[in-house]
Amino acid sequence: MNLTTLLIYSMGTLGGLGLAVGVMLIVAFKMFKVESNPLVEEVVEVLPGANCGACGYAGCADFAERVVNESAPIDGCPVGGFETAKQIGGILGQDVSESEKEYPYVRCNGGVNCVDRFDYVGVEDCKAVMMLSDGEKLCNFGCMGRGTCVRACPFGAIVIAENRLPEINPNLCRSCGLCIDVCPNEILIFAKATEQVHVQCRSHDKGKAVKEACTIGCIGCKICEKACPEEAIKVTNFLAEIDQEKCTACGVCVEKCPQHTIELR
Amino acid sequence: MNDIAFLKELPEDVVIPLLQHKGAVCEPVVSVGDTVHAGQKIGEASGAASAPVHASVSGTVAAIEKLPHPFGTKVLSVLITLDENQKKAGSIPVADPNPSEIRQIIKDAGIVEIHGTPTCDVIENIDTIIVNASYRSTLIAGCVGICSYPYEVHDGLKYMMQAAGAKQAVIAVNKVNKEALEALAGIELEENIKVVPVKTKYTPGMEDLLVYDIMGTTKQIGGKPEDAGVGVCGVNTAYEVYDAITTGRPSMHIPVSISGAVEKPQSLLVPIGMRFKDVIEACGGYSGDVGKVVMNGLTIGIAQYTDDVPVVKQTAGIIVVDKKDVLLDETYPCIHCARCVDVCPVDLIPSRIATYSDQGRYEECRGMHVMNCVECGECAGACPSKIHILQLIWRAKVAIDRAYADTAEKQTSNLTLGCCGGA
Repeated sequence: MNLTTLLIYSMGTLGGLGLAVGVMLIVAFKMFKVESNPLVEEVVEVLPGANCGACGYAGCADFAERVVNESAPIDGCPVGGFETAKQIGGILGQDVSESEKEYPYVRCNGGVNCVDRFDYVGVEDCKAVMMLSDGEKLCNFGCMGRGTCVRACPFGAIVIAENRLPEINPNLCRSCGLCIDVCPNEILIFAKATEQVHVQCRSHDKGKAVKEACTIGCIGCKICEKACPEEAIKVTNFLAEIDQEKCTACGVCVEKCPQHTIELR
Repeated sequence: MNDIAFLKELPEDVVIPLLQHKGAVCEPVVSVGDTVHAGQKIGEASGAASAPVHASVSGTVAAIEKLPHPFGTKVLSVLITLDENQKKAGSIPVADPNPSEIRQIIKDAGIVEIHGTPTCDVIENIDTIIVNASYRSTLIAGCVGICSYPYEVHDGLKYMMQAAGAKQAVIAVNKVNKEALEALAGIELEENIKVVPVKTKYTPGMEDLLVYDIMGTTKQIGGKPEDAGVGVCGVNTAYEVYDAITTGRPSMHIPVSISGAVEKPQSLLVPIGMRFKDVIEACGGYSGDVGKVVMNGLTIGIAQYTDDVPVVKQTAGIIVVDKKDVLLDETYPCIHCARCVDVCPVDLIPSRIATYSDQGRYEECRGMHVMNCVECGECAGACPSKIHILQLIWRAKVAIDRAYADTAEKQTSNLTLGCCGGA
């Protein structure tokens, strides 16, 4: 057998194999074709693609499929916000009304103002600190400042500032809510940008215990409750709470608060 | 340190926490200003795994408020200021008690194991009792007991066997503890009570391993030794059972070993509720600078942030560590030396579990059987990189427990499916 025949034989065998497999693939493609909804692909295109899971589904593709097939809410993607919701609405032919964007708000101003009970040496994580006798702080309600929210944020919007409290960058924050979910002390809460007056404390301890632990904690003195002209503040269980619907951001409570716990943004 | 010394002088006041067991906090049955006698019940047990709390001294109730507890949190406690003459509440021992009466006496006496389970719960539905006298040297009070009062421990064990209807009992003593073995050889044992020398020092939490090593029976992960028909109790609880049945006294005193940087290290029988600083004062006070005060052994004990905390039923030792001996090194990356793997008594791979836990990959930790960990702390002690392995394992276990428990959804979140690993 000379070289030319060998070449022809091998080319013929390989070429024939390739052809046969190709035909099989075409047949398989035609016979077992999966009908995919073109709408789903269009919706995936407009989604941010972060796969953060903030919508509650297993990623952007899953969310798109549920929006099209199982009537998941069109404005369910908190990262994309109103813009994305509008685009999805355009694809599916539905109207969306704009809702105001919400950012996480840190309900504690303790940080360096709060007294430490002991020096902590261990894993840098709020949950790990909490397991050791409810944390190193004398206050059981405050922010640990160990950065569990920082590591949970997929967009790098949170940093632990010099005062040992998380600081949220509203330009980077996409309101996915992962930080709120991981916080073991429920320090973070969603607040709208128009909600200006906030109580920067979560302590339900009595006034004396709060004063021992923290220089700027709410002692439940009820001065703000009496001062508020709109009756928007209510002190329950030694902690002032503001009814944001009634609040007009007049700032009387901010001035009157002896502990400077209430903040006007 | 081979005998239990008695306290020469009682403190001015004692703090008796109403939580000295695993279950819920007891309901106080006294009020401020009341006069209480030693042995009087001051806290009524409520719910499962709870034991009543008794006054250990007689005096006046000065306050009932939340005070520091050696487990770190603040717990509702009864502050008693001592009277000059110590009166004891009348106690009449039951003559010749039957098994159900013994069980009731053990329950009412508020006897609690070192890991927090009431003894009456431990001896339910079992046919074998193991007395764990194999603690490591830092928890020596438990083993000193067996040298000082072997007869009482033996008789207490006999009563417990009657109460539980157990067919056999084992006293597990550490092989190196020659004195305890001699003391037990000196007494006449019942036929169905055996003394077994063991190699390992089984700390609280390693009961399952002890049961496996002695009986050869296994049980489901997350179950209790009771599932294998075995109850594990301590030396001191056996003594307390004997005391409660023969004299009618409840659990009031506990032997505590004080060691480390104190003037006179010794084992001392102290009333429950005595503050750590008073106990250390009774041992001649601190010698040198105090770095740490640790309850119950250096590897698994709890470092205290104040010495105002009281001695509770779970206290077996107080160790004072000198300031220069406290290591506060920072953590370095794992060098894969596998020393933690060598020392692990349950054949886990702690280094890898710690890495997974650090990255929040708890499901992988579960796949590596992190739930089998007995939390002995050997891995963290052996680690040359000072990685907090035990804490990482602990965090993974807590996260896994939470992920598989039916927890209420948080109000503040818009997450519905818990996509962040249930953590």
